[in-house]
Amino acid sequence: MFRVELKKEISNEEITEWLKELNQPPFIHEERIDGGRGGDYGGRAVGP
Amino acid sequence: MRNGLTAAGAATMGAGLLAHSSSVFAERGPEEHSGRLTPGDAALLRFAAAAEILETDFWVQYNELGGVQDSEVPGGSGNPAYTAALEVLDSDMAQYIHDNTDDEFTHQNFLNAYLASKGADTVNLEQFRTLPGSSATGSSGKLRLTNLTQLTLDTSWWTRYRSSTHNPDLDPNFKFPQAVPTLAVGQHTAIPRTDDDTKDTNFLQAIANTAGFHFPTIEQGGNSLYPSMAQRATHVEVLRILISIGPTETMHFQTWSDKAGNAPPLTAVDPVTGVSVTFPDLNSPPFGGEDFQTNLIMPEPCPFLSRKLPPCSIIRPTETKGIAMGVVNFLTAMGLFIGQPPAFFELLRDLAEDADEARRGR
Repeated sequence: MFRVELKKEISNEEITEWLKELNQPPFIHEERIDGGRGGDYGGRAVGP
Repeated sequence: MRNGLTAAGAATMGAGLLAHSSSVFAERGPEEHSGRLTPGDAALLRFAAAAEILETDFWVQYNELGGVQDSEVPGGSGNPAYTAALEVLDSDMAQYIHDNTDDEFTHQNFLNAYLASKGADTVNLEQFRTLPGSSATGSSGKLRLTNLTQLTLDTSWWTRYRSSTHNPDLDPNFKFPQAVPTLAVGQHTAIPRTDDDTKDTNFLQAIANTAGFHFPTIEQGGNSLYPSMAQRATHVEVLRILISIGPTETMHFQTWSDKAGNAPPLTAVDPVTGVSVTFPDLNSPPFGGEDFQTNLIMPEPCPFLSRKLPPCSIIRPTETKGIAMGVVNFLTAMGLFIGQPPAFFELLRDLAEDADEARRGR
């Protein structure tokens, strides 16, 4: 069993700003991932 | 974040140069496991695996609607109207879509299996499979990682590979002209979103043409990614992996660049968004002629490494610095991830930063 751990914290605001630079709309459904718990992505594991 | 750098990275990937990404977030947590690989090699392969997973996801969407339907690439049932519109570009489109999809599956599976075989962490993005995708006939209706319905395409590869005087690695500020300027603004769907999108034959052809240009736009990215990353591989076996997968992306790119040249000229307005797109006749001025005719699908020789050396027919760009973050910016600016949450972008940037930090020998 392997998993990749996120090792840096990037705030939603920083990502929103980055998306603006790329001329892209911000994310729209973070609640699907973290249940609306703001910047806390819980386990955040992306491994199986 | 250094404003401007990341946006420039996206713009120049399309134009052919990857800006050097800044290491914005200095604070480090626990490192991923690299097993018996060097951390750098593991990071290079992990980023490649992530890119291949994302590629696989959108190729599956294309295959479900417009590819050959068989047990080798199962899932969809085909959309006859969309498939027919794609075949206007080439009668073999369905076969090529199927085979490109199959290729990407094998890339993602192999890269993760290799990482696991070396005791290194692998990549799995299933947590982010939340996007709805198409509901048109033929779609499996599965949730997706990527969004093919709001694309903004940089088609400057069309002129980059036909230029004999400019190489993005040597001319970072040169702006290669777009083949289809209207695809570079606004958001365009490359698949029928619903069956309503298949009712107007002109708009459906515009959707198929958009796909026809999306295919080479994507594959030219992989075409540059692999040789760029390979320059920083440590172990010869990792180098072998990168230089063996990379040229298949090149084969895809050249095939698709040939088909894109067959996209019939037209103008259409998206009935849902009101966005207009015009596909020009690429065999007429300002294109066409000896330099730009559509059947010129082999790379025009261009300056390489130094203008003091003779021109050389090459993949470009292959600048290695910042390549992974440049690809993330490129794909994000394309709109491929519209709808994904911050954690998704955070992960991609994390993987890219690690890959960009890889150096030969560590």
